[in-house]
Amino acid sequence: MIVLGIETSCDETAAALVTDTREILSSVVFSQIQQHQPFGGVVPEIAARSHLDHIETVIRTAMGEAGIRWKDLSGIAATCGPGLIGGVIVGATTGKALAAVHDLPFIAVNHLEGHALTVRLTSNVPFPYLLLLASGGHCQLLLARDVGDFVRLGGTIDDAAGEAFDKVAKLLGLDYPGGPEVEKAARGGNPKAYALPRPMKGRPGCDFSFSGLKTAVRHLVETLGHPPDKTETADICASFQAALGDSIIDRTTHAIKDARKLAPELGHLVVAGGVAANQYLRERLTTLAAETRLDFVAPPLALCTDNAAMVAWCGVERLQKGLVDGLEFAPRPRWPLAAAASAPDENDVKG
Amino acid sequence: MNKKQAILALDTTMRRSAIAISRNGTLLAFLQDIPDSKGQAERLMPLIMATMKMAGLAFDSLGAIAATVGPGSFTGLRVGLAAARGIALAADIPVHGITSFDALAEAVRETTESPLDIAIAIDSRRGDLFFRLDSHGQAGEACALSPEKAADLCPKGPFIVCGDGASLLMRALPEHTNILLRDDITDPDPRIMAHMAETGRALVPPTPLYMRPPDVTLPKTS
Repeated sequence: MIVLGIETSCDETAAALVTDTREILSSVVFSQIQQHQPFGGVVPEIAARSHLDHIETVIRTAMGEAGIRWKDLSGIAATCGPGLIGGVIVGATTGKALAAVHDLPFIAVNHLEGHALTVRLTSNVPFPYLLLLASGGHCQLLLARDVGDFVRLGGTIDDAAGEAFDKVAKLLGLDYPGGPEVEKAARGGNPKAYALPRPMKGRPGCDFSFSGLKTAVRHLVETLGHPPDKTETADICASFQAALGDSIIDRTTHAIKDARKLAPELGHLVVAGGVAANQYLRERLTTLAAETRLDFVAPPLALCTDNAAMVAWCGVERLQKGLVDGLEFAPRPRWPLAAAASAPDENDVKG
Repeated sequence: MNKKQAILALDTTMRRSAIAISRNGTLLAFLQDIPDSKGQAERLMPLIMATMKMAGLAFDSLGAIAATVGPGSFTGLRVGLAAARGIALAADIPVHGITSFDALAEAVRETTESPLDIAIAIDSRRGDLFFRLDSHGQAGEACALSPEKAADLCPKGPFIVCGDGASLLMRALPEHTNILLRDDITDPDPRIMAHMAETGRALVPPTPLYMRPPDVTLPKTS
């Protein structure tokens, strides 16, 4: 079984071919970062235009690199949300057109499920597992019980983790996207140089909040009274990363307890999304997993950020279960992966 | 007889989806849905499938695709072009673009022998017009401008006005301007576009004609 995956939900135009034997035949990602860089963030209309400009070439390249013809395919999977709707529409419509012409099953993929199932493609992780999904647009803790069966244990009540990185980078005059820049700058810094809040730490539940931390960093920069020099930048980045790390570890610790109540056989702690590329956080989570007798799994870096291999794989898993969609499937900007385990969190509008 | 001769033409730039299939100058099928700025991405492909069924054709009977490139609704033209280019990619056939101006002007010419100039006014939904004035059968320059500025470009009269922005333009014209209003020609008609594709008239690459940069301002440098 070979599935073509298409991803256009944010600022990456991507196509990939993946088999049911967990082989990535090709994975092509065209990043729009340079187009958005002058604006310090993703501009939806620029993203939508760029997706349409590049999607065909990206698909052709993925098919060519894999040496695959249309008749070799078992299905077409495209991200249909959540994300920037202008881009989602381009990828979803292209995917539907390809499926229609060759009478192939169409699979409408939830971008978050794509991230969530990536470790099953790369490491064949069995259900159930606890998933920390952290990216520029999302930050949540989910219990993954099966394909299409997730329990949301907690999520951010304001900013996503990746968003906090981007905003801090902007405050310090670092490049966009901020995650890798802050991580790089933090490497030489002292994580104890500045006292920053540990949002939500010690509170019950598994929700996140990063907006206060970002504000604290802004106050800190303003108090300096001058643009931070290299050492100060390093120290601020290291202190911010440590604070964010403490908060994530605290919330994830709660989530492990909650997840075990629902699934006592829980065996893995999994991290996914762009923030999972952060080595410091990976180390902290590895330690936490060891302390709580869980195996820690994170996808390789290229599969943490947005890509189409995860979409194709999600397509494989859904197709195997007969979960296919009609060509009338409506692309959606918001598409929660799971109902909340307790009270629904209206503030986490990002997924 | 070449099996791959049918043309599928579609327009999605005016908040409704319309599809026509023709072969050798004969219309085989035509379907359109009701205008609704939302939902084109969910309705277009099923509508294409229904039109194909109505024509009694499979995708391997298509020889080419034609789609409007705009100007019009940004989302609409992206849905249409993504579908058209996706079908063309999968079926390995050419895809032609047709501007909304050319599709509308062609509709006027198909139904009148008149040598009058044609003012094509498309409502940008931002208070101004996408506008083109075709004089002596020659396509003019496409521009985005206020109805008043468009009125300044118009001849003293008589001339023909078409497009869904016709009423905006007419309000800006001097009183008693002698015009022939074609209020029956507001949206690009895929039946006419299929004919244009068959005869190779006014075809352009299938790339969007937005006629407006993205709404965004560069952040102030601190």
